[in-house]
Amino acid sequence: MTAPPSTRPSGVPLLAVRDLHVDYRSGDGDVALVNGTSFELERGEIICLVGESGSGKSLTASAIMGLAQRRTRLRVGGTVALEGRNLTALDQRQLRGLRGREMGMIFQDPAGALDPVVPVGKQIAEAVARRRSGRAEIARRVVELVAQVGISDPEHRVRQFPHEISGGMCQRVGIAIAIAGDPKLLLADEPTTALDVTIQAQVLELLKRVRDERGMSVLLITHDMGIAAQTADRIVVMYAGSVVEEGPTRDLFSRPGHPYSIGLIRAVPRVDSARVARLSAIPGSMPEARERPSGCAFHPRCPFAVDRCRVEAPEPVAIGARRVACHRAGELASGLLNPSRSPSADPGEGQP
Amino acid sequence: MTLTAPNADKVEQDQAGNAFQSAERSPGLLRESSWARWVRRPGLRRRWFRPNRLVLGLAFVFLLLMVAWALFPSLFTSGSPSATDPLTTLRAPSGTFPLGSDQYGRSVYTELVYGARTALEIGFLCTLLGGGVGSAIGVLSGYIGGAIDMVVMRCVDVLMALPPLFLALVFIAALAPTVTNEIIAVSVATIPLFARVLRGRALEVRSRVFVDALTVVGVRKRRILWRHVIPNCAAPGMVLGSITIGTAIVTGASLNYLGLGPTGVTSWGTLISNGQGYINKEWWIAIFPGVLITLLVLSVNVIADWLRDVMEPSSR
Amino acid sequence: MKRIAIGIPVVIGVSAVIFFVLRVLPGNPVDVITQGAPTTPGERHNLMVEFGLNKSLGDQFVLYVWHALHGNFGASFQTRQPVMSAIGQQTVATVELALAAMVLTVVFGVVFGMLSALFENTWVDSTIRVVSLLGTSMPTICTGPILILLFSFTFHWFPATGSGSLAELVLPSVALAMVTSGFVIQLVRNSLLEVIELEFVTALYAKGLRERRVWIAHALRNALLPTVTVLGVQLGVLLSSAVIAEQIFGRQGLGSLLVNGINNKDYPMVQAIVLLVATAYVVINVLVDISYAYLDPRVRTAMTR
Repeated sequence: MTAPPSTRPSGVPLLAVRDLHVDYRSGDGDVALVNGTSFELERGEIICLVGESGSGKSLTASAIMGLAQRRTRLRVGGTVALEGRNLTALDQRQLRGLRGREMGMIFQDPAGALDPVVPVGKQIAEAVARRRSGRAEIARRVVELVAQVGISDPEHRVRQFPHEISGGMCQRVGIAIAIAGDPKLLLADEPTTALDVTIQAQVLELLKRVRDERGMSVLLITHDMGIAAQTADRIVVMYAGSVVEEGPTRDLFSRPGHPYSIGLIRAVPRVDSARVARLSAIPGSMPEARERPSGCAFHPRCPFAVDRCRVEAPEPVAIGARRVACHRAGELASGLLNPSRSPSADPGEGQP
Repeated sequence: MTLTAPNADKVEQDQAGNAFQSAERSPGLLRESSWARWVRRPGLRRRWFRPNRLVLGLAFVFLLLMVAWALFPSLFTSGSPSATDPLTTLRAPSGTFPLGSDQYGRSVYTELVYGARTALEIGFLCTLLGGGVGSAIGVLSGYIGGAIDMVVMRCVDVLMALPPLFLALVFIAALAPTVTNEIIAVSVATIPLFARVLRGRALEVRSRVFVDALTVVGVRKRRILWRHVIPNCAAPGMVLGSITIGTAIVTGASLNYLGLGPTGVTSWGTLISNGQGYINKEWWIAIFPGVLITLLVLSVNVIADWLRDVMEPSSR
Repeated sequence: MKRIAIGIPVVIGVSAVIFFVLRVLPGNPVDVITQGAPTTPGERHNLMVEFGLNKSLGDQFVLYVWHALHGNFGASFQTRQPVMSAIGQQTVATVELALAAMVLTVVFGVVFGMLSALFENTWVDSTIRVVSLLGTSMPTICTGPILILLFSFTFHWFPATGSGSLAELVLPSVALAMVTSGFVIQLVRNSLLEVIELEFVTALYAKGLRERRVWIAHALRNALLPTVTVLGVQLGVLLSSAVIAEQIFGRQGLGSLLVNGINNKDYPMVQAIVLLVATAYVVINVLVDISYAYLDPRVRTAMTR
């Protein structure tokens, strides 16, 4: 069965994340791992949260699920509104009621996200039981789900253990688990990173199909701009715990507004690109959460950084349909600065 | 959030944060193959009990006191452990009898002081003897390898099929009840474990590249054994030895308790066996030696634990 | 299976070790049985013939193995009765005790290990850790008298000695479980804490499962797998302590029979009992290995491949 498309007025977005903070409480003070993230997710939309590892995108997802709050050392602040209901104000008990039913999650390591000693069918059944009851009904639904996520011979597969099936198959099981309770929101944390390229495409297709059939909204987390380009309706770029740019996929790719987005897009290997060195288009590495620089967190790696970037953190400004948090966003958008001429964009390659 | 396979030690240091960060910062690819994770068995990687300095200090003080009792019992008590007196039987703890007296009128305290020698003798001598022989067998077997190693290890398998106490009991059954024979019996019981553990270590050292390299260069086999294999096996041997002391003390005391030890020697095990019939009222006879054994074993284990940290920092 | 194939030669080897240790080392059972009473060389010779000690060692061993294979472990030097009949009567009591202690070990291990993990780094955890460390460091000859003093003579909850009723089984099995469960508690706790950090547990919470279900149906199940393997080893400790516990709590059983046999140089008795214990130990460890393979689907797959 497919979930009936939501009939609610679309005035309230399905998910609205406002000024989300996740702090790590260490012995010597708090460290902001997610630092004021905001974005919205409409019904039936696929958003990609993009950034290097350490940018806080995974943690954002786990804060939405209420899983980050489980860890005593992590403190979550700000609001995460699911259909207008603020999740950060709920306790674990209430959150548990929402998990699986209102929101489901898919994990990066397909095999690692499954209990190794329980048959996969039983693991799906546990998720199905969040919505339905009755042995036969659940069993029927499990087989149905397994078939839906494109696993052949479902009756046989459900009795197998995670180690007996391939990674791609495990991820399909993971998706079946995530959608078993007909959630409105699907969080996918790097669901294809651990998979072969061909399987990657299949899994992404499956995600899109699930979205189309069930009208789910998908928050896809990835570090791969290529995947984002293929899948997302909108893209949210995160850097060092904050959103640096957000906008429709097409706009963001054709005219990226933030120097970091420019770097990420350049990092996508292209067929016409002769040099693999393009993979490391952004020099340097992301600062650790403890050692974040003053001002704009990106300025040490930014080819366009000016004095102001070193002292003042930029506020997001609207540029067309996008929001960009960069002091020089206006100049970049109007073409005053030429990104390809930046000396540090391609280190050591001596590009003209 | 990807909390995959965090480093156990890091988790110990600070629960969520470091593990989280290390996982988050690692590259987006799988951190270890799924197979590796399945094969890895969780378990004893966390330390169970890390004694603080105070506990360690107390353990050392207690062990030293016991050693002093064993070496110079007459400095700690004026009485004799064997002088019976029908007039002072079963006295409760008091000024004259700090820990009471037994059914023969002997001071329990005096017997405890003199019993320390028996306990430590078995603990240390058996560990030295059994550990020495076991280590030699293990190291040589592992170093020589081949058919000899196979045969030796099958023999060790056979000995390990008997719980150590039973192995000791077989020897006790065959030999006359003397101090030497009891030490022999308990020593034999410690051999198999040493042989197995140190053989593993010797194999490991041998398989390391540097031994091959030395052989190629032309260093003699015996020299490799003495200069490289044995020094590398010393640390685990000492660590195992320090743990074995406690086990040997318990085995010895148990044999004495069962009445299978040498006759006419003051021991804590015998004292417990003597006091058992009086536990209802004159509980001090059986309880105090038991407490002493426990404290001694505990001290030895705490020190063994510390020794392991010092000698094999990698096991932390 | 391969495991069983290894077990058989080990048991044969053990029987040989026991046999030769008893006979090659100095000490003559005839001296003990005659108790130093004046005997003529003729009488001594007759005893030697009766016990079969006059034959060569090799012949004795062949005969012993031959009879043992037929279930005949010889007659006791002391009572002249077949040792198997005496052992048969006593085995039940010992098995009862070992079984009760093993059940307690598992129960203590799982319950306290789980509590310790659930309340990690709280007073509950540290209490359990300290007490179980104390338990493993306390030999049975120490715990036994303390348990009797406390629960028999002070609180009058359980009888101090005797064997037969269930109440009489309580104290000795608790005394044994105190020695063995500490290690199990530690293993369950640490395995749980390691399992609970794995990603699949996060995924279980993401499914919206209840805390209880995550811990018991999934985490505990995973954590118990490595624990199963140590139970076989702990059985060795348990059997050793059982000999002591039987003495302390005045129970019938193989322990008393063995100690008696040793004191009287009753070789057939000692041989039979020790061999029985070794066989039980080997068999149970084989069973543990097999059950482990059964419990862990990953090992099951690896074995059928």
